[in-house]
Amino acid sequence: MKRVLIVDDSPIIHNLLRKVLERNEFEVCGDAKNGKEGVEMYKDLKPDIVFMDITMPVMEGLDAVKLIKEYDPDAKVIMLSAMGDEELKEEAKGLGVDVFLKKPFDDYKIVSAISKVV
Amino acid sequence: MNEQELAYHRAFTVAVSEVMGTMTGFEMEEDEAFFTPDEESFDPKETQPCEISGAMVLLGKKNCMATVTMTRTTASMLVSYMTGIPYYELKNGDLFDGVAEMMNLMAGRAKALLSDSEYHFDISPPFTIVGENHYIVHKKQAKLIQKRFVSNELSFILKVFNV
Repeated sequence: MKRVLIVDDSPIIHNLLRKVLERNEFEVCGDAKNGKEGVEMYKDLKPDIVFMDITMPVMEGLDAVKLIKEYDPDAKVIMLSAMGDEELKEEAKGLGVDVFLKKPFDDYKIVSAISKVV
Repeated sequence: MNEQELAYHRAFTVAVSEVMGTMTGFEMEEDEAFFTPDEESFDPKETQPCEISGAMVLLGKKNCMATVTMTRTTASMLVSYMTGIPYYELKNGDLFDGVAEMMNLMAGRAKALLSDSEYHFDISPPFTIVGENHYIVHKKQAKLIQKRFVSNELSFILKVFNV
């Protein structure tokens, strides 16, 4: 079973993603509330996939991706954002983000994104 | 309706439909008969009661505020459908975060739709305003959008106005 780390400052999104992932047979191994926590939990938990929000307090998603990729260049990161602009997408791609997923999302979008990275 | 109002009107109407349809399964339709009180005639009795508002600042050529306002009952139903948590198990924090997240998703989608236009904007993190029978009142000239969306017994008001 693939292990997933969720990094998002919204408890609602955590809850929602967890439900989608669990009913599609993925294990949520960690919930981080900001990028800094996400980087620390990545190092501790070594998840197969990271779902990363962009706008978060303490440390933003793109900064966290940079640190995760420096630590583990093979890290699989799916970026989740309500903002779908091309500039952000390009920046994320440049940092090594594997899939840039626009919110809102449903089961199909989440599972398709995961199948692209694993 | 000027060009900016028209652009925002189109983008936010699509955003509400997509976000609510995908995240909650509700088809929220615009209430064409919604009366929009203006500054001069504003009377709280003429507006629907509201208890929770999600809000965001839209930073662009002209800065705006976007708000989505609803009753606790509507928030409970929408957040319950979003998360799969029964409405009677939702805590205050779930409702406040859920309404803020709805605003975040709508504004984010509208931002993406307007990203190539002259009315593109950046968005602030969302926040929530809570209190029984609160009103969000702005200058009449500042109004860009004021719409009521309904689905059966559920409804909310979406506003975007210059600040």
